[in-house]
Amino acid sequence: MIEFKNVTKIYEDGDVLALDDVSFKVEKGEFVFLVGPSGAGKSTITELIIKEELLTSGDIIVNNMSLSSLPDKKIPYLRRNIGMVFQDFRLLPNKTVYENVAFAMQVIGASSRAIRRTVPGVLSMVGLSHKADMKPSQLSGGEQQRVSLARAMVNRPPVIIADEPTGNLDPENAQEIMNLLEDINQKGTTMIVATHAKNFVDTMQKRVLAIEHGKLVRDEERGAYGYEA
Amino acid sequence: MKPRDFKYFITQGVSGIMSNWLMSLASLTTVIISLAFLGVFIILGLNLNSISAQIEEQCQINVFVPRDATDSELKTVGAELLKIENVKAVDYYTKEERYRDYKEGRYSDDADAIAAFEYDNPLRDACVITLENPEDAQGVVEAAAKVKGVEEVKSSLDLIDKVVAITSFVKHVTIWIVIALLIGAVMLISNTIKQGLFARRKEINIMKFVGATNWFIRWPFLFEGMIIGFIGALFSATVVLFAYESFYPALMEFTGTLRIVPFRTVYNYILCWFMAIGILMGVAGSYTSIRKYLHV
Repeated sequence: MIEFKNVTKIYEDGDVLALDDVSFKVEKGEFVFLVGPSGAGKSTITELIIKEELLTSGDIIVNNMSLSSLPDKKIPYLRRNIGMVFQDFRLLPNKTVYENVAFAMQVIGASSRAIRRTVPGVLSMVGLSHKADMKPSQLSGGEQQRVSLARAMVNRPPVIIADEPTGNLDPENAQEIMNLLEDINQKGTTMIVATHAKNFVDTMQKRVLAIEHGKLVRDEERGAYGYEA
Repeated sequence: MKPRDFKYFITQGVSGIMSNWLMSLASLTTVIISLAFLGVFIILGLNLNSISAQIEEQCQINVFVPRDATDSELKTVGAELLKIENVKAVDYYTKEERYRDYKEGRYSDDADAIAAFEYDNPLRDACVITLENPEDAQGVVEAAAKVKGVEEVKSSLDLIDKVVAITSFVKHVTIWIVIALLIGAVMLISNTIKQGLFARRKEINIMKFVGATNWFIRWPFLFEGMIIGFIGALFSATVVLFAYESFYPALMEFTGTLRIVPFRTVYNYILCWFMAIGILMGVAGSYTSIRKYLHV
């Protein structure tokens, strides 16, 4: 599904070594936590997977696509295979909940019929059917994150990458989001979650990849967070 | 491009214009003004060409002999003129006939002039040349001047030269104004699009993350520019054509026997050129901003 092969990333501005010879493989349907201190290289990993950043050496394989040789104009098609969830939700404030989710389908050229057929189901999955006409500013943080999750999954990508999805949420809302991520994963979607949320990592008993100073220091099948929260 | 995408791009383009209406209006105004000047330029050019052609068509060449020339000298000159290539016929126009035409025509209400002419006719005998092919009048004028016994050659070509000199000056001034205004309009459109890109950077960013193609992101902004260009062209064409139609009778009176270019012809030219240039300006304006500021 996703494979890092001896990936090194050096940011040219500032000459920072963000990832140093990192190799791992995530199989289809897996749930993986990406942990490590701030600045360890977790975000670099997610940015490399969607080719937001270019790798310096090595290769990344996503869905049988080699990113080192993927031409720029194919990047949009790579990203259609990956749903992204961010800590800051990244919703459009002037669009309703429904429109925010529909937008993701619209921009990849889905028909309005397909949009009408798909969006309500996804909203009901994240429990927001009754708030479809509200603007993001009328929602709580947890609800906003659920909208962003609905948007990430509406095009049925085989992989969802969540970068600190609970970082801005209170424990209750964070729990709901984690439950949702687990539900979606159980329906077959590969899930990669970069997080600082020690309690979830420790209790959910999923595979843990720990990054420190750009190096993969730990890869455990049923791991724990391993740092002080 | 699928029809539903087309609809989406147009809607997005229009909403971009509306959400940034002040800048859009400024761009629109410069498009209208620059195209209006272009319209003046086109109308001037069309009419100059048409009038020159008409003058050439009606070209009359008068060859004068000295005042004291005898009748036989006039006939000799006439015979020589007939030998020139492209000369179809030579008519004689004596000073007496010319005096009579003047008395009845141009000076009919100037008694003093008539009295003076009566006392001493200052006019000269002339040969009037009819051409085989009016387009080649200049050669005949030059050849006629070289004929022995000819004092002066006058033709309406002199008028063409004057018309050309004046209008080409006006055309030069206009074209520079047009170029400056067109560049200004393109820069303003570009600035409008830049602001639109800035206002919607969040949306663009999300579009990139969910896998919109670069062209899907670019098209709405291109349409925004094109719509500004299109509306500007339409508005400007309406103003210019309305003005031409309104001034048409006055212009006709001014040019006398020379016909000015009919409205229908101007209409086609203006509409086609304005549409093409207006839309092109829109594309040029948006594309420069998209290239510079939209890193997709």
